[in-house]
Amino acid sequence: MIAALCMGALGLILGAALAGIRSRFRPREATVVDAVEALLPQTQCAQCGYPGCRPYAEAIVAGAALDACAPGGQETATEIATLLGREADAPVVAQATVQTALIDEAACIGCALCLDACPVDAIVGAGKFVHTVIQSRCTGCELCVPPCPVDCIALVPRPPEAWTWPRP
Amino acid sequence: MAAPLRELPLPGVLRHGLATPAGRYLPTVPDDARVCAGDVIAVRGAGGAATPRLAKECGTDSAVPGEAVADLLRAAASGRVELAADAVVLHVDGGDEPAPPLAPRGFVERMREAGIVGMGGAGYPAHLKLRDAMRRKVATVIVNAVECEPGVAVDRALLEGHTEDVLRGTRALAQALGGARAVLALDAPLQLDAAVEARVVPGPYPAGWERELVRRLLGLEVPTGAYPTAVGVVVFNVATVFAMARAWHRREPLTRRLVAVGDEPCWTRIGHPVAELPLAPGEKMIGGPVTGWPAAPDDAVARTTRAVTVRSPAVPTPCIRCGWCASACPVGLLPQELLRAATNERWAETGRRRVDDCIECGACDMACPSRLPLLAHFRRAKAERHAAARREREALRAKAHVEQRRIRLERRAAETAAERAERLRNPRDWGANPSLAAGRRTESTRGQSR
Repeated sequence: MIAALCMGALGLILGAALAGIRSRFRPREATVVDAVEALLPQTQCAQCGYPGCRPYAEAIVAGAALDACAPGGQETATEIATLLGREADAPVVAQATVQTALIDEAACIGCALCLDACPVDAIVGAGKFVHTVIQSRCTGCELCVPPCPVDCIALVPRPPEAWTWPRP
Repeated sequence: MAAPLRELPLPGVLRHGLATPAGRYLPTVPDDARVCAGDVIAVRGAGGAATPRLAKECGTDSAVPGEAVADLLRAAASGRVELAADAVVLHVDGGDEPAPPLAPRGFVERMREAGIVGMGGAGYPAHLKLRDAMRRKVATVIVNAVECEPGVAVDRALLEGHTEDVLRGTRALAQALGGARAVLALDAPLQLDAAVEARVVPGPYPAGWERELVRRLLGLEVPTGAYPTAVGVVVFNVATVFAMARAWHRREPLTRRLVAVGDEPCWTRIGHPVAELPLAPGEKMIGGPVTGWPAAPDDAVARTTRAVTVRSPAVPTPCIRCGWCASACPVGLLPQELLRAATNERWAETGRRRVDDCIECGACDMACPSRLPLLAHFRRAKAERHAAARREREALRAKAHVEQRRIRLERRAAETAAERAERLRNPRDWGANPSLAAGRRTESTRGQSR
């Protein structure tokens, strides 16, 4: 009898403590979003229909489909599905190649329209001055292409890795 | 004194590869241009926030900050340039005239201008290593003449054939490093008449491994993930020291190196196509029989190429999990487990099993009774991990840029709103200017004044 009471009391106390801790240190929604965002490729291309990687991560946590990230491809989709314990959705349509934007400086009229389009501030320029793309910053998201009135922005494949080894 | 070393004749085409283990070079000459021996044809580096600081640190007088830290690749002969995707191809048209002497500069700057990189195989730019050594005020410089792998006798040949140059280079190097103690590490005794501290490091391969050398010669343990400069030691290969001596005393840029072609050490022009080397038929390997890798058809001798050899192809059989590779590994890795992860492309697991600590000595390959290409798999795993780390760094940077942009846009919007509110609260007093005061209340004028 005493033993049962003791154990019951202990269970009650520990249960209350656990409930208190849980309400005090609630796992924040943001940590899940952060974890999903960390898996996204950070191309910021908005091809998923959201205005960047962070908004897409938030949407995924809220229940959006995983098949929208083209630069991340199937691999990223699978990783996120594993992280969230969800079934992987339909396969990602197309995986984009690694590329960067390149401005044909002879054709650039210095309109500055592409500057605001770039999500990572990779384009240097000012009104009536020729623009150029900082190659190391460019994520190849293609968002600068539509605003350009003279179509002087081309996407070129990135140079390959410095040194690669073939599969033995 | 040994017989003089043979010099291979200048080939008709030289090929300077742009992709190196240390990074990618960018050509600085246009297609179809003509260059002379010793001209700069490609550079690497020169970028990033650290550049001006580094330039200041090494006290260069270059007008362009980036110029001061870039590594140079120099043409080994005169000829017409053809830019290929991954190489600068030089169609040799001139004679065998030597390159013009380098400009008189300080030691570190001269090494950079000579285009000297670590010639033991790593290809790390000598000027960066020297600068690191100077900043940390190293006490000891080791000249590594311990043969880097069994079956290649190139360091010994260089030391015996050009003892005087190597010793002068050693002294100049020690002097440049503020009077550091110079130690010449050998694998077999050698009669030297000069006052240089020579130490013999007998022992099983890989005794010439940098860390092992530091441990044996000085009793110092280099922390994992760090270079020997962390414990006040800097190690240079004997071929690098020879190139330094030539650059310092004779102002020669690096245009040729001693390469073991098959069994014979030969002076070879950098850029000499592997296909044109006098070798027996068979599968050509860049490097020796242990750590070499199969040469591509258009490969050429690079500054880091120690040997080009021929091997008979081995037919691997499945792993029998004997564990001999684990006993052979000088780093104490588990090659059999690493191999399983690497063949299945589980790169994260290879990282957990510390593939990054692999020194690529090939001891596991030698030990393997199934003749599995373990080293080739580990090299690939290391490269994949490097690429993944780079992608992750870039993603983080892009994320930071997006965040900064968001903050900037929000701040700008807030400022505009505040300004607008301020203007609405305190309209400008147009009364002071009679000409404007007349039209003050008309909407159109107010619109234009904005």
